[in-house]
Amino acid sequence: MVDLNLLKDSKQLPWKSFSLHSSLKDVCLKNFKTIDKKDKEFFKIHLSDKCKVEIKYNISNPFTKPEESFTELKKLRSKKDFASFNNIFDDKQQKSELCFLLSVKEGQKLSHPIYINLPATQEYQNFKYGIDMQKNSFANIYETYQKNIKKACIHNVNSFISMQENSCLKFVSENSKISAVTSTRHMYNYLHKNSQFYLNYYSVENLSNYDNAKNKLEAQSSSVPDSVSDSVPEISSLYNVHTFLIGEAANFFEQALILAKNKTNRQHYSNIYHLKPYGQSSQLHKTMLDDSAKSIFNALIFIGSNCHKVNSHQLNNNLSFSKKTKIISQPQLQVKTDDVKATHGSTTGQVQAEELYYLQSRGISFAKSKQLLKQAFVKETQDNITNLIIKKDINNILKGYDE
Amino acid sequence: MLKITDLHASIDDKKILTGLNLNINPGELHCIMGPNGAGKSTLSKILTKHPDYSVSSGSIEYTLNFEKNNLLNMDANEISLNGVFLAMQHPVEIGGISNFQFLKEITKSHCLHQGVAATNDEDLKKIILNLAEKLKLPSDFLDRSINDGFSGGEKKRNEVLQMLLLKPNLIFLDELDSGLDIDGLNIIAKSIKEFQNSERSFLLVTHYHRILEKIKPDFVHVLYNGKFIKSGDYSLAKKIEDQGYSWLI
Repeated sequence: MVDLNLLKDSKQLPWKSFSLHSSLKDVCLKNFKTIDKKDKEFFKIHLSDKCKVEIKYNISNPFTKPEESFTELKKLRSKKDFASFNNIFDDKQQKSELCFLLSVKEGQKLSHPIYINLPATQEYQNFKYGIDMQKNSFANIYETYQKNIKKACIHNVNSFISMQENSCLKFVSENSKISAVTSTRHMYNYLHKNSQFYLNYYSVENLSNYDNAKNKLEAQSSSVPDSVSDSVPEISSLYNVHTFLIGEAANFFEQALILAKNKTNRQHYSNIYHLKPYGQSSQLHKTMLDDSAKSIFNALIFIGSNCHKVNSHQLNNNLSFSKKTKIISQPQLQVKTDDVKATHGSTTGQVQAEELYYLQSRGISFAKSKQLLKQAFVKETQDNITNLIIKKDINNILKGYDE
Repeated sequence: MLKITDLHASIDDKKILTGLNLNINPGELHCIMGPNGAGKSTLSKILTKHPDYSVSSGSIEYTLNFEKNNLLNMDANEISLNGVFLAMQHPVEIGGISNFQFLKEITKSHCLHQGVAATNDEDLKKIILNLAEKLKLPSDFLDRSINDGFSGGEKKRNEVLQMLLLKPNLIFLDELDSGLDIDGLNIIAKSIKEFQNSERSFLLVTHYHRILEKIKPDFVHVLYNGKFIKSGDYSLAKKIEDQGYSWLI
């Protein structure tokens, strides 16, 4: 766990809209205790060998039927199969909070991606899950959401990812398939020595019925739990990531893409805490907005004392296609030691008229030129993804943005 | 093929062209010369509908297959699809789109406009690589982003490659010779000469005589203060090379 003394120098700039964004104190004390205390109540998904997934339900939970079951890993290669695996959540007696722990055992290198499909089956859906990447393990994980109800809903996901020594995780989270949802995604990552965590986040929503959804959420907000009610109705999606590099030479590479249209609101917070030397991290957050969409980017890279030879980069690029969009960007860097490389930056603008003209002057229509430039803008956020199956899925989603 | 009549144009309320007239027939090669800031590049950009420039009066009539079109009423992509091409002085760099993807898109757009089936990827690649070899462009340029990291010479050769690929009827070459070494100039001049025919017309903007030695123009015009102040044949370019513009302005 994180030694809180190491974080005592860290200061986050105040932010008016920080209603949901937990303070460091909250993150470390509250949530960590939560995960420790509730460990017994987690489903445990052990990837026990190359071809089998062992699912242990070690609680007497009303919606868990088997004590233990086995599913062949190869079945998890398609989202369809994994959706059926998640049917356990569809039980009539389900609770609002669904928990599981996925652990990749020591030395396991999973060549096929694991799809985690998080269904929204009721108006306020909470998920809490952990990923335990044990020593020298490797996995590709693709998290996606599925909305199974017609009503507007709030979809809240919390995950806790532990990266043990020399482990490597390529994690893609994508929430493009849910509309009329206020989506909040909280992620707390702990990286040990020499571990590598590649995080890609895609939010490609097109909330055509957002106004409808907003009204419904407002009407329902009285019964929403406190932690979530703050987000109603202003936030349509919130991404809140805290990453602690607690081992030497730990590596964290984050790429995020928000494509938002219509009257939507995105809030994006990502803090990286370098607490040991020789670590590397990079943040690339790209936002592309159209119509009257809004976005906030607020991120911090903290390099603690004695964290020499750290190499860290933070970049936020925003592209606007409409005069009605609103973009707020607040990149932050706090460095408490010498002998580090650290950069940060932010750009906000419109599509370059000269680039559009060049493409059009060769016979490409205005709409197609604009689409090509959008694709060019987002392409950089796919560098981390090496798995071809996942890459194809993401490409299909990005293509859909313009249709 | 192209008839410009009394053209007045400006950028940010600054008048650039002040009553320009020009007539280009099929198969002719015209050259525009003039001191810096005379409006040479502006003219080629106006002819291809650059968004920064506005035309206050005049007309630009373009005739293709006996059909007359007013370029001022067409979008930039329509102008291109109708056989007009501008090889730019400073082609932009666009990261994230590979040259091949770009060339594929422009070929597709033109094929669609002409109502013919687009060339498949494999054949298109062969055609492009043949042209690249002719222009001495490295074969890996297809995988690189558009003009990204290209040298000045490579950018110009990439422009010529697009011209050879699209086979336009009316071509504007905006200072194609600037930034080119002697070998690059020879390669490009040879390609243009081979590309010339009795139906195809060129409007070449240049500061230097050296490219005109290789591609002999039929007409040379001197642009100053937004209009042509002198027109003549190739000998005019030679005289300007020797004496500059002081005897004209």
